[in-house]
Amino acid sequence: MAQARLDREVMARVTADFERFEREQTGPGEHEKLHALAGQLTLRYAGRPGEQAAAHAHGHACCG
Amino acid sequence: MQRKWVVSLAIDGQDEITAEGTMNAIDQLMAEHELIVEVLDALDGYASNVERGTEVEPSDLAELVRFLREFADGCHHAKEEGILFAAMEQAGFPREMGPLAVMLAEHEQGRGYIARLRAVATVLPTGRRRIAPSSPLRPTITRRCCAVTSPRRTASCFPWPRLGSTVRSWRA
Repeated sequence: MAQARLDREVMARVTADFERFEREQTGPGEHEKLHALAGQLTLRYAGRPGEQAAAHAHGHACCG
Repeated sequence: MQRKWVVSLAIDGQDEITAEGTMNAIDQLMAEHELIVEVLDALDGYASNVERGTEVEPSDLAELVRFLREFADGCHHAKEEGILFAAMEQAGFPREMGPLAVMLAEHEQGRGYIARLRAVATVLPTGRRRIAPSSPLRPTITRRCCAVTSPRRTASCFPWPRLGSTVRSWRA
């Protein structure tokens, strides 16, 4: 039996590395533009506004 | 820039209650994951239109592909593979079996499917049109790829929330 854990400190480092990745790899506003694009496509083809895409307008979602 | 979640509720006309907090890595992945699933639903809707013989806008297929390449793969999968999975490996999760192996294989499968869709999107003529049943492009659009639909499955099966909780364990 193998067991592995991610401690709180590791998770904090992963979160910080996520933030750095997005700063370095994604241009300003690009994440938000893709989020808006997702909203348009979902509305057009999934027949409803996506909850995540709609949430962005209120600052709930991943680009918060 | 720390990502935040904000929830506002107003019940039965009472004053609105607002709560907020900082998103950790797992919260971010879950939120991104939900967004990707929503766009996969849109891709599914596009494919259904093609199957029904409804006119579709070719540039929208290109936009669906762009989202999946730039957001799902270029951002979400890149963070998982380059940062989270690396941390999991260091913590003892094997790369060759278990959840990491499954997710890495699904990512690769998804990349192949998206590459094929992208190839179709680049050769479709511009302007709304039906895609004829005899078109060699049609099977690529309408074929459902298990790797691309798998986020729905892994969202309910893979223990992302537990990874960030006090349990934080995986047994094989």
